[in-house]
Amino acid sequence: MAQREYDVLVVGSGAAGGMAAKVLTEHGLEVLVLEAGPPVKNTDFLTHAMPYDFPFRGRGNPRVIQKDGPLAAREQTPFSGYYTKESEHPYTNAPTSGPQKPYKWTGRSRILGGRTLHWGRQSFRLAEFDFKAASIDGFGVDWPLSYGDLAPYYDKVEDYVGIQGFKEGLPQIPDGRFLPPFAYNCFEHLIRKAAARKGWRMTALRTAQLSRYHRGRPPCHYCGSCGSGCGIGAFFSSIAVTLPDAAKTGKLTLLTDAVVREVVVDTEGRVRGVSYIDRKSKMERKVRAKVVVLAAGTLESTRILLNSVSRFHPQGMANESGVLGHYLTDHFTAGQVIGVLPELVGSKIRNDDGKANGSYIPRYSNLGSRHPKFIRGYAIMVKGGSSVFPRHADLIGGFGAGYKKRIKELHPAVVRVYARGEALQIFDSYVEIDPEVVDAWGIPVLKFHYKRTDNDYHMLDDAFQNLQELMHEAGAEILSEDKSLSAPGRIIHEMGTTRMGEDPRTSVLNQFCQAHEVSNLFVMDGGCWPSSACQNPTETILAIAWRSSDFLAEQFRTGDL
Amino acid sequence: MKGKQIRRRDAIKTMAVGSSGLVQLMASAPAAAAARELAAAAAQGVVATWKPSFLTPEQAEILATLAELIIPETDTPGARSARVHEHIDLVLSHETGEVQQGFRQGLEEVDRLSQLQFERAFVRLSPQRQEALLDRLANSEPDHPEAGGGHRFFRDLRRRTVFAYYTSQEGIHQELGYQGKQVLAEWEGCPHPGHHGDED
Repeated sequence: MAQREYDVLVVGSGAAGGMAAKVLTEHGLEVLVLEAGPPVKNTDFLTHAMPYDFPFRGRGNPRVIQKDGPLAAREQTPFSGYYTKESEHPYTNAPTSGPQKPYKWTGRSRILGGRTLHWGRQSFRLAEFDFKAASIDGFGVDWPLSYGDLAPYYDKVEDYVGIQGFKEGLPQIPDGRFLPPFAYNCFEHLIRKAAARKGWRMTALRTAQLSRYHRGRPPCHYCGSCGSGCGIGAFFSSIAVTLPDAAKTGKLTLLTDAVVREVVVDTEGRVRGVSYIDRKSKMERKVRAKVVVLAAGTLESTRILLNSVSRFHPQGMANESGVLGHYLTDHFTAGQVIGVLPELVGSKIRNDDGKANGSYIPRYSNLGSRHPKFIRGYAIMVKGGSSVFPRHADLIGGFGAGYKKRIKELHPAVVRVYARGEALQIFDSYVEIDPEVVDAWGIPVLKFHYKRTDNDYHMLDDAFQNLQELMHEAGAEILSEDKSLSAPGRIIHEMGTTRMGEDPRTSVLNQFCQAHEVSNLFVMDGGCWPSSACQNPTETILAIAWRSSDFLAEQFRTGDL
Repeated sequence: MKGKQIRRRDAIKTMAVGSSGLVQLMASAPAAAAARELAAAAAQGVVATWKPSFLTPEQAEILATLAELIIPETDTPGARSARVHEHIDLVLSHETGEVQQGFRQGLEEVDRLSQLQFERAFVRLSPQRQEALLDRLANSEPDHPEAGGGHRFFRDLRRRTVFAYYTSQEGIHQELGYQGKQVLAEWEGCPHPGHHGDED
């Protein structure tokens, strides 16, 4: 293996890595995909399990929760790497103070397919104005590509992946090629009417879940178990969609349990492969390729680059600019209100969680007029209805027969609304290598320095007030209110640490995710975003990975790499 | 959801049509069903001979009594027949020493208050007196000296009881009548036209 030279080596098998593998192999290139975790099959998922099927009712052993975190402890996902164990994958935070919470690097996966196995499936295009936000409000930098550059790839991704949703004609979330939408639940109809009275248009979350047969994949059967993986590939994942297509070309080699440590360079400083640790034997190995694509997820790709120190790249690979690791953001939740819709109290309990998603009020701030206190904007998420567990039980008082009755009556009537906002990218929010700490494979870990901006807090003020007004308009009885920003990292939409741009002095990558510094190195995951908008990022990550892979293949063909 | 249900075997057959490439497509229902049967069999073996692994038998009885007061039997089973106390004991046996100690003290405090007020063990009080005592605990101030931190214990006890009950077969199926985790042919959505807006 070590002697063979591949055309392209792709690190990571999630959304970006899977797409790169598909597109590059279909262009005829010999591709090796390295995945840090073990393999997994659709048939491994326990999708129809009930809590009582597990000793700890799905939640996990408290001891494991303590050691490896609540996600890794979950019993519906009993395979290694579906969520990583905190004890094996440590990270550190610089001290924080005041309302600033430390970065929480959560939701990580090391398994074939990465986070596409359990992602939220929400799929939105960025708006035309998102690509030139800096020109509009003067903060930060514009993207080095336009909506027009990416639009054909949004089309291709939607045709390929299969995304259900309503067309709305709203510039904030441009329409695309959608499968027929899932019908609204009761609470969604009621909130939608309330939103309309506030002058907002609510639409169903657009999700990469099939509402009918699509390219050989069966439709969703509404079991509502998406978080535990899909046993039939009805929602998009690398193992259900991109990797099988890459395998069909005969050009794909898959190497699982390969934890990449660093990018390796030749005697002229050009990329010639990577070194990795075999996850099981912990032996270090090398593998060679003409081109390396990092798609390990924003922070893992950044960590690999920062750890790739050589005499040619003393500050880490692709870091002549000094911005590698900087401009870290994650979307945030800005306030949450939970309430009960009187019309639905005592109605029949169904399975409102079967379609496994809710609704969405797209961004309305700073579109025409400018808000005096903050720039950019947020969307409102609308979730609710009856699900397998009555989470509202803790929000109401009492005990006894009356308490039991109340839990049941309210179950179908509970609605939760929260805002999902754009965090501004600033140089002072960054990661670096912590030389004191290594992970279970001896690789130095990341240290986080995260700073919120005043803009985040002003956005919270506005969002919280509007959440309250929306629930008031819907006539909801309020059960709980939380006016706070989620911890950075908590939304698992990390972006910005390998930002793209036209100027090599202020950015890491060009508009095709190619490193300014080394032409045979690409970083195709969410790290390239120079501003984060407020839409869920995966559809855009897929579109960028497709476009960048087309570019890479063309450059490869003409010998320009 | 009232939508038409497909028989599981038919569903698997239908899904297999789409199988391709690297990944063999198959419903995971059999794996889940196997897990369920296993858990049920294990539970049946345990039920007759259950012994607490963390609590003393006396503390387990206090816990079972308290849990039944929180979620009592009505026209559906209560916490005791859903064996809520057994699940809480299992979880407690894996908690940290600090959490274990706190919970044990909470149970002992209930008995202490019972002796103080009624000069009897809590489990031997009438249901009315048990309820009155729990009510006092529920409405006491956090860390009130007389209640000995009762409020916090009540919250913890209720949270554990609710979790164990509403994740049990009794709670999910008999009490709530939850209809999910099934294979449905279509997504019907809201069946009440009165809730729908004027579609535009």
